[in-house]
Amino acid sequence: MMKEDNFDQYVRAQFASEAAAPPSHVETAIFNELAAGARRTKLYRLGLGVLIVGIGSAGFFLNQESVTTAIPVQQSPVQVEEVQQVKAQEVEVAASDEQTIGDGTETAVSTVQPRFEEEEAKIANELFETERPQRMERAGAKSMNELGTEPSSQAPALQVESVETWVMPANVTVKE
Amino acid sequence: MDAAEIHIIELCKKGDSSAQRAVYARYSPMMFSVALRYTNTRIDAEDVLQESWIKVFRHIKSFGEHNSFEGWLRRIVVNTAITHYRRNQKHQFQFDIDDVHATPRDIEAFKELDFTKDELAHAIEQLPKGYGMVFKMYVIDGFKHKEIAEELGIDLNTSKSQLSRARKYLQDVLHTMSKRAQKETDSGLQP
Repeated sequence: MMKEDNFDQYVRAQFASEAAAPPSHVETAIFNELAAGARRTKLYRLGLGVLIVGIGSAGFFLNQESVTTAIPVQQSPVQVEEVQQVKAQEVEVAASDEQTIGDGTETAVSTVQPRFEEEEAKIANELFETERPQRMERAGAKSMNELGTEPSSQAPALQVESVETWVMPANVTVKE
Repeated sequence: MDAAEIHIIELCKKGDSSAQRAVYARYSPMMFSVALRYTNTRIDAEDVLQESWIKVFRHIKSFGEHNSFEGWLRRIVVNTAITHYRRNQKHQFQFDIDDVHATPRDIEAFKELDFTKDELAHAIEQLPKGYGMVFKMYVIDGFKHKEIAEELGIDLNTSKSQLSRARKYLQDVLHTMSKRAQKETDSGLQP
């Protein structure tokens, strides 16, 4: 009696060791295609790498430029005002000079600059006057020659003593 | 799998060309025979073989060492052959069920089976395509009904019924062949 399983086993056994040699051109075609695929993969990876490096370096350089760009510093309102005042004075002076000179032998700029320096010197002088002590006493202002001393081994010590000394005025308050 | 086979598969996973050639030399005769069984012409079988090997080497990293490598290769060839068949023929396997007029014949009628491999192959070739596919996949290549149903896009019960009908159809063909051979033998003895 032949059952289904036996029939299947019989058929399977007939085909178990089945083998047929394929033609050689199939092997060549397979390995050529594999090699081409490997090349494509390499190129793809290389391209991807170059793209990533390019994007990265571009981002880096753009970042560098943004860091090194000079940031404009706003001038304070006081400074701007001062500059504007000075410029206004210069313009006024230049205008007055042009009127007085008339013949055009001197330029406005050449006359403005000394005037400005004079102004600065005047201001500095005023400041010195205001800061200078009101009262100053001169003490020991005699030179060695006036004393009639002769040079000796003690000369350096005497010279030191004859150095002019300035005593600055001071307010001394005495507590009771 | 023995250690040498595992080693060579590991080399293939790393893309070693010489290992790939060694694997090809070892398994391509088996794979080509499977391809021939599932295709109509030798040229189709060559196409299936080439496509199968490309798949093998591209997906060999997914192969687990605990499975049978030969079984894995066999399945790849069969799957590729089915895809190739569908692509070329635009054939629906379900259509064959109604077209076939199989003669029911009891398997018990065959007390002895004495056919060569070529005779069996010739008989299987005479099966309608749908029956033939299911029969070859289940009986010869060891697929389960669930796998056949998935591969061919048919119902599980359809796979079972097609196999049953394929067996009966095949035995009818074999019975006819046997009778014809007997007649030829008798006629050869008479003079």
